[in-house]
Amino acid sequence: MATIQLDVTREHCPMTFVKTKIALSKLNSGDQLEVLVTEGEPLENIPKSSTEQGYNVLGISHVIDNIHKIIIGK
Amino acid sequence: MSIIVNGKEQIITENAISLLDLIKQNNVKQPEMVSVQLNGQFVDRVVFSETKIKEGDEVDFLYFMGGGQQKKLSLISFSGDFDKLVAAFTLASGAAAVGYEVNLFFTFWGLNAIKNERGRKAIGKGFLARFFGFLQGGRNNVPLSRLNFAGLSPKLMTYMMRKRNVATLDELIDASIALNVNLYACEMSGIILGHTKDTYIPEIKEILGVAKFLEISEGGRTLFI
Repeated sequence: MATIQLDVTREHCPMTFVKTKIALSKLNSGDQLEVLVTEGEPLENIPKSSTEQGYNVLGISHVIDNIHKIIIGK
Repeated sequence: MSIIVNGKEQIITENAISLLDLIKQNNVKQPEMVSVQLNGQFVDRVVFSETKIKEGDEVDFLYFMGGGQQKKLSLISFSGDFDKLVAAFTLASGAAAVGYEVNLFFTFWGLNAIKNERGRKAIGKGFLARFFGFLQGGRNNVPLSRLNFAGLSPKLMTYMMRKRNVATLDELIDASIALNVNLYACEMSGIILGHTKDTYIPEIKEILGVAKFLEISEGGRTLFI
């Protein structure tokens, strides 16, 4: 059970969810992806599109300032 | 009583209401196809009429697209301009990242973006084809659709994109390939310019024509860029 970490706080559309999706597609069953995002579009869209594509959003937490962490599992 | 429907507060006049009645009241589209979560748990369709909604319940109406048919986007890349290629690959990679099936069909000037040869080279069959092939060049030579400044602008634009951490054209193309966007080349314009399958990058799935394109893009949306 591996945990991969990804930081897309410095990226802009579409790379925020493009890089997240590429990381998600490399997960094996039981793995987790921890992705750091900024408030706004990525924070709203990434949990939604991950769920739509069959991944499990295990948690969303506030880290510091406008940065949040989303934990997604397969 | 107050409940939450799809994340928004809703005031219900009755003291108790069945899930089925709530669906009717909300004019939910395609009620026979909607899936419902009550307080985070899926509710089996057969018990909709017996399931009672109470104060503070959270109801979510969800639709699951089957077969991927409806989430399909096909883009025809004709102009081959730098800015329009950025738009095409942004749409392609973005849509693919949210689960769309994406087709990119390159024709005429768009073919320059997918040639193996990134610079100006006299490729093609026959003098005229090689003449045009040289002038058109490859991915390094694609012009900005306006204010090209003799080819300086695409370089300036790429510099600005890197500086602001916005994906460059190459990054968008790599991302699209990584997300399995289907890339196709136009048979007709390829023949005019004397191209073969080896002229293009290996990620091009097929060289095809209008009939096959219409078949591939059936059921989704098509955009001409």
